[in-house]
Amino acid sequence: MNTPGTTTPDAANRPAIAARCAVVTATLVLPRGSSRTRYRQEFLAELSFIERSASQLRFSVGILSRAWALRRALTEENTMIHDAVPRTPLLCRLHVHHQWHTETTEDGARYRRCLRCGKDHPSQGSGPGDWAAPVQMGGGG
Amino acid sequence: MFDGERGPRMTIPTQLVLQVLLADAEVELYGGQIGSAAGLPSGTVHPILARLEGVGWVESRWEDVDPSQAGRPARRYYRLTAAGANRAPAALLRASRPRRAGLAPHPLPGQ
Repeated sequence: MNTPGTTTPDAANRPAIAARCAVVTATLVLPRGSSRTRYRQEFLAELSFIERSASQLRFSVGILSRAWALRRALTEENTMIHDAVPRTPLLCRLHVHHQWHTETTEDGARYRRCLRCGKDHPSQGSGPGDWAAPVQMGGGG
Repeated sequence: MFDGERGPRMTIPTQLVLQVLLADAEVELYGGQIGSAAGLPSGTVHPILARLEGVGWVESRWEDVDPSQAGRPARRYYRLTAAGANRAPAALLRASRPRRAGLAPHPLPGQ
């Protein structure tokens, strides 16, 4: 299974210098020693399989932007919570910005859901996430 | 340290990564593949994988190739551990249940 935009690297397909520099810079924030070496090799390996230099740069910028998150994941001793309760990002909580993603239910219906907070898109059908859908009152008619 | 009774923080991206790994627990995938299958941008997947590795749900290894002979670097492959494969489905269910229950319409009086 190949990721779109990737290929088998050869000598003519070396990662762009800017992309390599960004990856190396990203790993500088990681703890010294085996972790830093491992992730540097891992990212450079993945980078070398990406075909286009624009895609390489996009990959590197993504790695660079999340380098501190990776450091936290590697260094925080207690990153676990007993109950697996999802945390809602602030922008989602304030209904300022959601990251909508189309998903499919078990019966094949499609709906949109925020990747970050899990909220269902209000304009979709009358599923459980549709808080704006009219509530049927019993005994009416 | 790792407490076997605890699980990772179940953010939505973490759930997506687990769903990809659970799709075939026997298959090994590298970070880019996991991110692509989960619909997550680069850089998001590795912190999640590091946390999952930290709690013992995921294990990783270097690809078994000689870079000088293959003419390319070795990739790092990830797969679920037995503990991860056993516990991730229940954790995913638990993570989605409170939200669904909270959004479900309240039963009307007399129903």
